[in-house]
Amino acid sequence: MVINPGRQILLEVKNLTVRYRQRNGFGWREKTVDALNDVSFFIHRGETLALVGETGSGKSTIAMSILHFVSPDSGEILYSGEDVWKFKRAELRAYHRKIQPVFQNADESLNPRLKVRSMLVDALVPALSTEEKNRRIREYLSAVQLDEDVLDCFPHQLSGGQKQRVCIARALATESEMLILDEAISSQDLSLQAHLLKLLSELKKKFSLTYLYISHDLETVRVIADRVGIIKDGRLIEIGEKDEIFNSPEEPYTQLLLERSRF
Amino acid sequence: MDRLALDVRNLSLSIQTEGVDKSIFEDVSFCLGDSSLLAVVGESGGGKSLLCKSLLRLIPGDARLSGSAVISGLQTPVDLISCPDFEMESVRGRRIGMVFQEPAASMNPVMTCGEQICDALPKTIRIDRRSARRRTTELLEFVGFKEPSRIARSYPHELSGGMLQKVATVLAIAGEPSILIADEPSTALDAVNRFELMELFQRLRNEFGMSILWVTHELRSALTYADELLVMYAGNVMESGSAAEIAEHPKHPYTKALLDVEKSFREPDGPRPIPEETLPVKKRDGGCVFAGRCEFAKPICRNEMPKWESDQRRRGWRCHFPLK
Amino acid sequence: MPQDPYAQNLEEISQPPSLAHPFGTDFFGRDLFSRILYGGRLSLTIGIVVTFFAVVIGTIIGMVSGYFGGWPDAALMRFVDVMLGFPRLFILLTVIGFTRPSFGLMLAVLSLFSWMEVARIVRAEVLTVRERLYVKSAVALGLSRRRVLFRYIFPNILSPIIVSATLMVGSVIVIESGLSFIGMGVQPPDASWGTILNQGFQDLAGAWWITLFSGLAIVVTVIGFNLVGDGLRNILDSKTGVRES
Repeated sequence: MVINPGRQILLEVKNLTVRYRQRNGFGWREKTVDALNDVSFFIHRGETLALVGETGSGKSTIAMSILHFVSPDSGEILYSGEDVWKFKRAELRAYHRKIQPVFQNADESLNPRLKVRSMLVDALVPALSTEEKNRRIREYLSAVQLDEDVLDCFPHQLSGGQKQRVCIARALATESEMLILDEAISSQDLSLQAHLLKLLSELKKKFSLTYLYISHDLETVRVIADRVGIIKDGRLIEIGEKDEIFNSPEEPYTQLLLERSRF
Repeated sequence: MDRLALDVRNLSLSIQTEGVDKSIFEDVSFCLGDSSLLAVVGESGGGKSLLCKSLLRLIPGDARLSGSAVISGLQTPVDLISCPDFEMESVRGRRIGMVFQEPAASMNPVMTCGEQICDALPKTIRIDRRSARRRTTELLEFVGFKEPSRIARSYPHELSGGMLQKVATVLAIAGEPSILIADEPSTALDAVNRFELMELFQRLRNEFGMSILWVTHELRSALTYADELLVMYAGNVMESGSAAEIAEHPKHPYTKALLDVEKSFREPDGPRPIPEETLPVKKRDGGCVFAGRCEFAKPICRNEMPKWESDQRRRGWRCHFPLK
Repeated sequence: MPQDPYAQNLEEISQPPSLAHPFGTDFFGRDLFSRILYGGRLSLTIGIVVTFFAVVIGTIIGMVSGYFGGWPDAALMRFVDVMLGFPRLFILLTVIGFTRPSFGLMLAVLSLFSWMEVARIVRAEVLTVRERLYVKSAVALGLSRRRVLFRYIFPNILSPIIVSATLMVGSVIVIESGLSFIGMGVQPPDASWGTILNQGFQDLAGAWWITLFSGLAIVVTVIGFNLVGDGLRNILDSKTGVRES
């Protein structure tokens, strides 16, 4: 089934502001740092929005806020029109399952004391029969092109690429609608990047997904994104269709980024 | 490039895991010349990181390292593999400096950057506090900081990744080494910071004659900046030689595959990865390590490890059927 | 073949080690080897039971405190501070002052007053592990808090708990031996290693074997538990690829 990126908005971020309070060693001096300042954007159902910026620009904070890990000081995050920061416990758990993260460090995203099978079972909808669970696990594993052997392995027995694919399988297993990929691809080697990019593109079609792709690597962004937003010092300075941004950027910082990425 | 800063021959490392000897890399040989930038490229997990650490003997106690790695330069030559431990202490920081992938993890979180840099300075300068501070400021300016005193007073967690990596570079060169080993220093950085770091490396080569051994999986950067290339796969060196030549005429199928992946990013159909390993692990003994993924593999490739061939211009490859 | 540790044989008073009595005999002609074996039961029992309660109570309190934070954390930690203010030996000796010394009393008081250290260690570990990416990922899966706590956090804080527990067994045995040595612990005719040690002191030069073997028993046991703890931790960590740096 091919998804038509119709104009339905799945996620909307409105005037998001997040501040961190930094204390020195003993807690005397307190500094308030603006991690995000009045950031607003939206993502249509079925599209891939890339957020590009330096490390420390705040792009990961956006992800953390959307994922309900860092609370906003002001602003709203609306998923399918509902404010995620007003959810009660049960609604929150349902929300978590709809929007799954894939982090940069697959090593740290997997529980070292659990086998892959257990982690995937945890991701599945609990009220399923055992056969159904097994069937789905096999389906998701083959979707990410992993052999069933990995089910009985612990994370440390897998290669980097395999671990990242387990993370992706886990993100799919919750029957999610949207994946947030936070630097999930850029620090891998080129061949693995190619592999994951192809995989993500296939999965998006197969499972009708929406992607928020956060990265500093413009090469992968160029491959995967529909729209691109540029984040600098906690502000969204430019956002538009991929071709517009790559071919005719307006902001000087965007132009600088593009220049530095060309070899 | 006449003098050799570092001459490595037949370096092999194996580590005991769960009772079995696992070979991390074997038979690695290369030469690093003065002011030269040698890039070690290849996929993640190919043993490149441990190769760097082995040169400074930062490896676990039960690891077995063999071969030779001789550093020359202005002081007496030392074989990093066989010299006694106390001699390694005079090598680390003084003759070889190292920059790691995660700058934050390699720095002490409870000391300011300035204090850590002072610790890394040579004793002669460290003794006088004023000259130590002056040198610290000079070094921070050299790497491109506009406000060196502010950086010196800061703690690692107060600086961004790009700034930290520059500070880590200062730490590595503070002892005035002639060789810098950089293990994926720019992987965690964005394009702007990466560019500045590479520019910094160029200045180190041009102004100080430093030789740099640079491990990276970013083929694009390697082809742009490096003089020489060492292509590794699964712990074995597949090809080595001048970067320009390898880019034009790769001899090894793996090198060609890597170059193809890089090119495919810009193609309309999108990136194409190197095909996955087809042979199960057990069947891989004895033959070429790349045979399972090589499009040109013949039966002999699976059974016999190819020998290293080279021509006089320090160009070499390990393949039964090198490309023309 | 152990003999009856209570059987007195007045013809064989204070015999040095021999084939019939591998550890010799004490002042009442009792076989020392048997007494040490039986004494071991007492020492080990108290070591293990006290540690068990301390670890269970301490782990529960530490996990609740570390995971939920907020006012439960603050309240529990103040409770820990208050409990830490009571030195357990003095409490024990005071209670003994009101009644009589006994094995059961030692067991009870030590069990109630040894869990605080474990609670603090567990809480610190939970605070660290809670921030790990795989725990955040588990929360992101919509798992219940209980699931996250028991499957994602608890197995990853086991190592320090094990180390703490094995050290505690050793230290409790030493405490018990000390108390018995001064007569405030196990009472005759029962004997733990501490009481035997005390008896040995009455004739240190002459019947040296009494002091030697009882002291050795304590030392070997404590070291033994520490080694077992190290071994357990190694097995746990190697199963999950965590390498000792």
